[in-house]
Order: sequence, then structure tokens, then C-alpha cells
Amino acid sequence: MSRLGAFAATLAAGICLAGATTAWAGQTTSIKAAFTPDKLGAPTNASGEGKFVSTIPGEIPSPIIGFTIKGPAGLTLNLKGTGTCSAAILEGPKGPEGCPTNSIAGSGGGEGALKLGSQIIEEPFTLNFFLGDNSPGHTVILLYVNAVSPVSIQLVFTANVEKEAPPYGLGFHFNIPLIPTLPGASDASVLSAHVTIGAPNAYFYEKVHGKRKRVHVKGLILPKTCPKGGFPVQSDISFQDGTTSENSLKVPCPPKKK
Amino acid sequence: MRRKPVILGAAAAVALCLSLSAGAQAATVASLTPSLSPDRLGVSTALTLAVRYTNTQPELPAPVSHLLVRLPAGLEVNLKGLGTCPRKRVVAHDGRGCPASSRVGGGSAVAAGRIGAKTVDENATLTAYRDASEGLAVVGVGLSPLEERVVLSGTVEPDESPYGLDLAMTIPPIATLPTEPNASTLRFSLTLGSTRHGHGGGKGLMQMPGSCPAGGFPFAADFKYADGTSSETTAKVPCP
Repeated sequence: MSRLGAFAATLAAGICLAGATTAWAGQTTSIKAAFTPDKLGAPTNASGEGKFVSTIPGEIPSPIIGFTIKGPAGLTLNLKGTGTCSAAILEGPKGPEGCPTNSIAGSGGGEGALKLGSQIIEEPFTLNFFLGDNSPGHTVILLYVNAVSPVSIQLVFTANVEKEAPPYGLGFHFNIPLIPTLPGASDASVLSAHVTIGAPNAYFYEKVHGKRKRVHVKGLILPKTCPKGGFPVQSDISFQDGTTSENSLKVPCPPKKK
Repeated sequence: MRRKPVILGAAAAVALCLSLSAGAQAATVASLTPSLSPDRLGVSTALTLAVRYTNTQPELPAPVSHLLVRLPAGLEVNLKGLGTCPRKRVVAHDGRGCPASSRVGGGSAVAAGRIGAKTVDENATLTAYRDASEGLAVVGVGLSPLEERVVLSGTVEPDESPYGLDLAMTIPPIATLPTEPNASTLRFSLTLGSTRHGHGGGKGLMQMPGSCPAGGFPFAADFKYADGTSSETTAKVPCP
């Protein structure tokens, strides 16, 4: 089997989504998401999971060729204390082990699939998100997709973090090429995936005026206020069969303190 | 974006089937290296237990959930003069505010977590307290890259010859990131007792046996892992 990056990357789409199921011509998309911890104005993890099922019995979903994730307005990034990695390092002999730990932006994994004749072959994959650029306003996210067996694949994708139109805030878009697999088999599809972005309890050491100082990486910070109905988030997923799946969700507001 | 050459073809599928049917099982094993310092018969001593976990496959070892160390007969624990610290305080404040006399040891540990395809190591300090229920509470604190705190519970029970006492410890899961597996302990070293801070009329926490059996002081350890497997090992400390 092979390049399962597409599906992997796909579910990065799961980030920030609360819970929705969308049936389209070719596949049913179901996505959940949450912020943990969910405290207003505090560092958080955005985690999500998604499942893709073909509407045709016995078929796998169409390969994903792109996805966009939009977070709620007011969600901010504080990348002080972070490092960066590069596509070149990820593509090098060390792969993700070559990236500094403080460049980690998130992780995940899932299950991909291809169809060979009437047989569906599944392959697990892992996802690593790294910061390619941590400059304010120019944040770049690198996505490293890794699958080991039955076929070894490693892919790197890049996305710029951009400001989306209200009611959304920060968002990013990944283009995913078709990923060939075995001769005569379908391109790679995604069956399921889960991702987590952020690490609110991450700390690193850096030298400040010659002294070793422990720096708290805040990463993703929840808005200070929550709109009525919850935080709006959205994922737009494009499939190779020409269909798209737009999932607009609302992540519930944090419970009010009593 | 980049693509590495991909091995394609039926051969891969065949290889997969073979690997699934005949593949080696991953298994976690542990080694124990005990030491006693000073190692003179009948004196106060400090016992250091160094444990290293490995996997028989190129994977992280499974997280350890229980540990039982069998100490040689004659190695005594002297609790006289020791203070205690309420377990709640140990848990809530990492031992801060506990009486100095309740501190019975310390050490270090290295844990590792699998974050996607990357392995991230975390160094932690260990501090052991005697808790109010006569057991041990060992606080593990890792500060970077993730701020992690775990409290291990320990008890000391009598064992059968050639062993004297058992040190049983329960290790809680070490969470990493949401959706990622718990961290695994790669190695730790825990020292109990000290000859520098005697208590109870000058005696330390640990007392060396008055004699040494042929072949040295016997130690043994049983380990249980979060994946349901277990392993055991033995070790000997040469006679003085």
C-alpha cells in the first residue's frame, strides 16, 4: 500500500470541530472536536477526530485533495519559547526526530485505506505538526505524515496560518495531492483520523541574559469570551471525486463558574 | 511536499501477510542494578535501585504499572525517628511543606512519549516520603517539555528467604497529549536512605545485614506493564 498522506492530512481537518455528520454524494463525513482545557483566555489543546465512510457499500471514501480548518474569532497564538523545523529536516534522514522538541505543534494519527480489486487494505498512519515559521503573522505549519506497514511512506505538507472572515479567526489550508498506492489499486483514502494541536503545559528552557530560564509555551489560547451557542469552527474538505464537505460546528462554551 | 519512493507490488502484500503471521511479538523487559553505599556489614547504608526498561522490538517499552523489588534478608528498614507526611500534602504540593524527617530518598527518571512519529524524552526528579499510612509516596516531577507530576505509592512487606523485605510500588499512568499514548518509563534510579542524615539515635533508614550469603546479596524484581504483560529479573550485590 502506500501514500496515505492524503487521508492523514485530511483529518487534521478535525481540529477545532465540535461534532457534525454530513452526507454527500460520495461519502459521509463525521467530525468531532473539543478544546481541553476549556477555560476562557487560557492555553488549550484543540483536538478532533473524524470518520469518512463511502455512501456506496463496499467502497472506500474518495481520496481527500485538500482541506481548510477555521477556528473561532478571538482564538490566538502565543508562540513565545517555540522553535521551528523545516520541510528539509523532515525529509532528511532523521525525519521528525530531527526537529527540535519545541517546534512540535501537535500530533495525531488514523487509519487509511486503498482498494485492490475487491479487497480493502488498511494502513495506520501517524501525524506530526511542527512550526515551520513562528513569526507573528507569518506562522507556517508543517504536517508530517508517516505510515510504516505494509508500505513505508513519509510525506510533508505545508500550510500558512491565515486570518479568516468572521465569525472565524485563524485558519489554515492544506493541499493534498493524490497518493498512488499499489499498481492497479486505488489512490489512498482516509477512513479515520484524530489530531491534537497545542500543548498548554509545555515548557522549554532558553538562555536569557546568560541565565537558563524556563519558558512556558502557551500555544493556542482560547478567546476571552464565548459567543452565544459556542465557538464557531469549520472544516472544508475536498475530495477527488469533486465533492466537498463543509462542516460548520460549534464547540460548547466553557461552563460558567458558580 | 515530498514523496519517498514507495515499495509497491504484490510482494509488499505478501510480506505483510508473512509479517503479520510470523512477526516477533514486542515485549518489555527490565534490568535491575542495585547498589549499597557504604557496603560495610552492619552499618547504616543507602540503597540505590537502578532500573532500565527496554523493548525487544524497536519500540518504546510498555508503561510500567507495578513494581515489586525483593530485598535481601537482613537488610533492615529503621523507621525510628522518621517523620511522616500526609499523602494528601504530598499529592497536592509535591511534598512541599512535608517535614524534612519524612523525606527518605530521591533520585531521577527518564520517561518517553510517542508524539506521532516522534519520540520525546522527559527527565524527572524523584523524591520519596514516608506517608502517614507507613507507606512510601514517591513524587516524580518532570518540567520540560511537558509539566508532569505523578505520585507513586509504595509499601514494604516481609518476604521469604533468601529475601527479607519487599518494596511494592504502584505507578500511575503518565499522560502526554490528548489522543496520544501514555508515556513510558525508560529508566529510573531511586536511592533510599542516607548516611549523612541519620535519625533514630544516629541510625540511618537502611541498615546493612550483619552477614553476607555466599555469592552476594540477592535481589529480585517483578514488573507488570500497562499492556498486561509482565517480566522479572534478579541481581546480586557482591559481598563487602
